[in-house]
Amino acid sequence: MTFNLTLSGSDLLLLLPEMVLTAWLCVVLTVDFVMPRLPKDRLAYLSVGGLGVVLATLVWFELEGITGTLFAHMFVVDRMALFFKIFIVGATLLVILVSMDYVRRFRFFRGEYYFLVLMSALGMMFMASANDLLSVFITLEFSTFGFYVLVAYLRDDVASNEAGLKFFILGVFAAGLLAYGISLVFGETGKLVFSDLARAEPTPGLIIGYLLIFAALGFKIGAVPFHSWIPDTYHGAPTPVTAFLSIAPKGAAFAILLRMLFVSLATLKPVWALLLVFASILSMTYGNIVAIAQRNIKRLLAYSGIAQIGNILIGLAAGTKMGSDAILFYLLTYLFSNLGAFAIVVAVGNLINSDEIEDYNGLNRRSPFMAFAMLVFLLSLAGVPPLAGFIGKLYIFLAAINEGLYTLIVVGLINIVISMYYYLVVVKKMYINEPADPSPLRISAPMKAVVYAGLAGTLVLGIYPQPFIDWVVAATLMFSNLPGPAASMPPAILPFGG
Amino acid sequence: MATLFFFYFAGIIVLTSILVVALRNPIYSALSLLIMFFHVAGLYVTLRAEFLAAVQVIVYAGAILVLYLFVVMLLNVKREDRYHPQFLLGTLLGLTLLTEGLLLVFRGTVPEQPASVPAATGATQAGSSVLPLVGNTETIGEVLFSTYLYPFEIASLILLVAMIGAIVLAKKDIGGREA
Amino acid sequence: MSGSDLLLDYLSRYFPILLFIGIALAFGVVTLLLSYLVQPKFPESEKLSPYECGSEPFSDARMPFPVRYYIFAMLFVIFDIEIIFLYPWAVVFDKIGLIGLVEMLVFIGLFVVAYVYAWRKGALEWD
Repeated sequence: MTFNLTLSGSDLLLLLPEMVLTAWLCVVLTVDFVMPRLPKDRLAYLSVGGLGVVLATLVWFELEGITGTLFAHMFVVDRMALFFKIFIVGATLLVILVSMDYVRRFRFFRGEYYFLVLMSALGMMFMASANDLLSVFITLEFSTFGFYVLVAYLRDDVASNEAGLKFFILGVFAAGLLAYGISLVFGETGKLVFSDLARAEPTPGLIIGYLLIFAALGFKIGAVPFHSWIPDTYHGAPTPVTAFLSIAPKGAAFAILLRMLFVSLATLKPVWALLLVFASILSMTYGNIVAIAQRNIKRLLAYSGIAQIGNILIGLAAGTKMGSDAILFYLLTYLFSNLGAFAIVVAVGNLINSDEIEDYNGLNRRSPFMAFAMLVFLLSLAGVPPLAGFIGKLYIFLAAINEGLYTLIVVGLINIVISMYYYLVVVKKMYINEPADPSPLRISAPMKAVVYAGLAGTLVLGIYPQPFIDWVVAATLMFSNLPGPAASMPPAILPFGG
Repeated sequence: MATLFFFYFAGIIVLTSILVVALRNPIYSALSLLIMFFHVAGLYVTLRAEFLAAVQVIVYAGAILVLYLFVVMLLNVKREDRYHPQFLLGTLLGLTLLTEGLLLVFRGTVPEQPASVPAATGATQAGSSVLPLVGNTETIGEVLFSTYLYPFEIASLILLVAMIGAIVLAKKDIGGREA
Repeated sequence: MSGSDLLLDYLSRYFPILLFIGIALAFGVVTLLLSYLVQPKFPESEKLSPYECGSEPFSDARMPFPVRYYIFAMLFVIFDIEIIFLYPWAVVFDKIGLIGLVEMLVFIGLFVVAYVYAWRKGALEWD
C-alpha cells in the first residue's frame, strides 16, 4: 500500500469558498479574544463581510462554470452544489444581520455566537458537496454541532436549556441511526460513493440500511414521523437561531437527499416514492392541523415549517428532474418568506419581549411597515399569488401531476386551505385587533435591511421568476436521465414570467 | 476457535450494554460500560485492528468514561427507585422490531462471500504469512493522509467547534472581560 | 493454513496481555475473597454505619461538584483525540513527505486556535 495523493492547484480551487470561510472564522474568533473590548457589532459586520466574500467566490464559480470532484468523489462541486452553497451562505448572511440586536441579550460569549453561526454554515456548505456516505455522516454531524450549542445559548433560560437538551438527545440518536445505516449499506455493497452504490442489488440488509439513513435525514428536515424535536426546539431556542435552523439545515439535507435518492436509488424508485408519498401526506396534514391550535408565534412557524416540508416532499415523491427543479425553487421561495417572517418575530420579540400571538394585536397601529412585511411573508408561505410561495407550490404540483400523483395533489390543496386559516388569523390580529399598548415600534437598520431583502425576494420570485427557474433547471442537469416522463417541462406553461 | 472468541466478546458486549441501562445505580452502569468498552477493544483485536483497539481503550475507556463519571458526580445522580412507566411497552416494541429485522435479514438472499472490502487493509494475505505485512497503525496512517484526507480535516473542524461549544456552555461567569 | 489458525497465531502474540489481565483480576479477586473468608462475621447496624468522628451522619457524602473538573475533562477528551491522530502520522511520517507535514500542520493549526481561545478566555484557570 503506497501513499498516493494528487492535489493540484486547480483541485484546491474547488475548495476555495470553504477555505476562505474557515480562515475567516478563525479570524473572527481571534479578533474576539484578542480585542475583548471591541463592540460585538463590529464582529457581526466582519462576519457579514466574510460571508460576502464567500458569496462572491461562489457566484464567480457559477458564472465561470467551475465544477469538479475531489478526494476520490467524496467532495463534488457541481451546479447543484453551488446552488445550495449560495442558498446557505445567503441565509447565514441574513441571519447574522437579524441577530445583531438579539445578541445584546446574552450576558457573555457574544462573539462566539457569530463564530458558531459561521461554523454551522461551513458545515452545511460541506454537506451540499457531499457525494459519498462517509462525507455525508461527517458533514452532517459537523453542521449539527454548531446548532446544539446555539440552541442552548441562553444559559439562564429554562426553555432554551430544555430545547437544547431535547435537540441534542434526539439529534445524537439520529446520528446513531445514520451511522448504523451507513455501516449496513457499506457492509452489503463495499462501496460508499453514491454513483457506485447505484449498481447495488437490493438485499434486505441494504434496504434496512437505507431506511435508517432516511430516518436520520428525515430527522434533519423535520418530516413526520421524525418531527418531534421541532416544536420544543424552535420554541426554546433564541429566535435568530430558530430562524437559521428553520431554513439552512433543511436545504443542506435536501441536497443530500436529492443526490442519494436520484443517483444511488434511482432504480428503486417505486419503493421510495411510495414511502415519500406517505411522509408527505402525514407531514402536511399533521403540521397544518396542529398549527391551528398554537398560541406562540414561534411554535406556529415551527408547525407551518413541518407542513412546508410536506409540500417539498411532494416534489421528492415525484422523483423526476422537474420534481427536483421544483424542490430547489420552493426552497428559494421558502428562504425569503420564512426568514422574513422570523425577522419580524425577532424584531417584535426584541421590542416587546414576547412571542405570543396575542401580543401581535394591532401591530399595524404600532408599526405599519412591520405589519405589512409580515402580511406579505405569511401570504407567501400560504401560497397566495402573485407572491413567491404561489409559484413554488404551482411548480411542485405540476411536477406531481406529471407523475400522476393525484391523491397527493388533492391532499396538498386541502392543506393549503387549512394553512391559510392560521396564517390569516395572525394577519387579522395584526390589522384588526386593538393593541394593548399603542406606542410605536422602531426597528434598527440591519433588521430593516433583512426585511427589505425578504420582501424583494418574495415579490421578485413571485412576479418575475423566470431567471431563477432557469438557474434551478440548469442546476439539476445531472438528473436529466432519470426514468419518468418529460425531462423538464418547458416553463412556458407558467402564466407568470413568460 | 475464532467464532468462540467472537461469541465471547459479543455476548459480554450485549450483556453489559443491557446492564448499563438496566442497573439502578449510575456508578454501576458506568462500570458496566467500561467492561463493554474493553470487550469492544477485544473484538477489534480479533479483527487485526490493534491500533483501533488501543484507541478504543485510550479514548473511550480513558477519557469518555471519565467524563461520564464526572457528570454523574456533578449532577449528584442517586439510585433510581423504579423503572420508567413505559418500560414494558418499549421493550415489547423493541423486541418486535428486532425480530422483524432479523427475519428480513435471514430469510432474504445472503451474498455468498462478503462484499469486496477496499484494499486499504493490506493485511489479510491468507496463507502467505502469519503476521500482516504492515500493521494496522501504518495502514491507517497511509490511508488517512491520502484517500481520507477530507474527513480528517473536517474532523479537526468538528473538534474545534466542540471545544468552543464546551467552553461556551460550561464556563461560569467570566467577570468583567466582556465589552 | 486456514483462517482460524491464522487468527490464533496472530492472537497468540497477545497472550501476555491475557495473562496480565488474568493476574490483575486474580489479584483483586483473591485478596477480597481471602479477606472475606478469613474475617469474623458479626455485622451490626452500628458497626456498618459510616464513621463521622463520633457524631451522627446527617446527609450523604456528596458536596456540590465544581464544574471546572468537567471543563478540564472535556478539554482532555478533545486534545486526546488530537493525540490519537498524531500516532499514525508519526508512524508513516517518512512515506508521506512534505504534503503529509502540511496536512498535519493544518490540523494542528486549527487546534492551536482552539487552545489559544481556551487560554485567553480563562477556561484553563483553576478558579
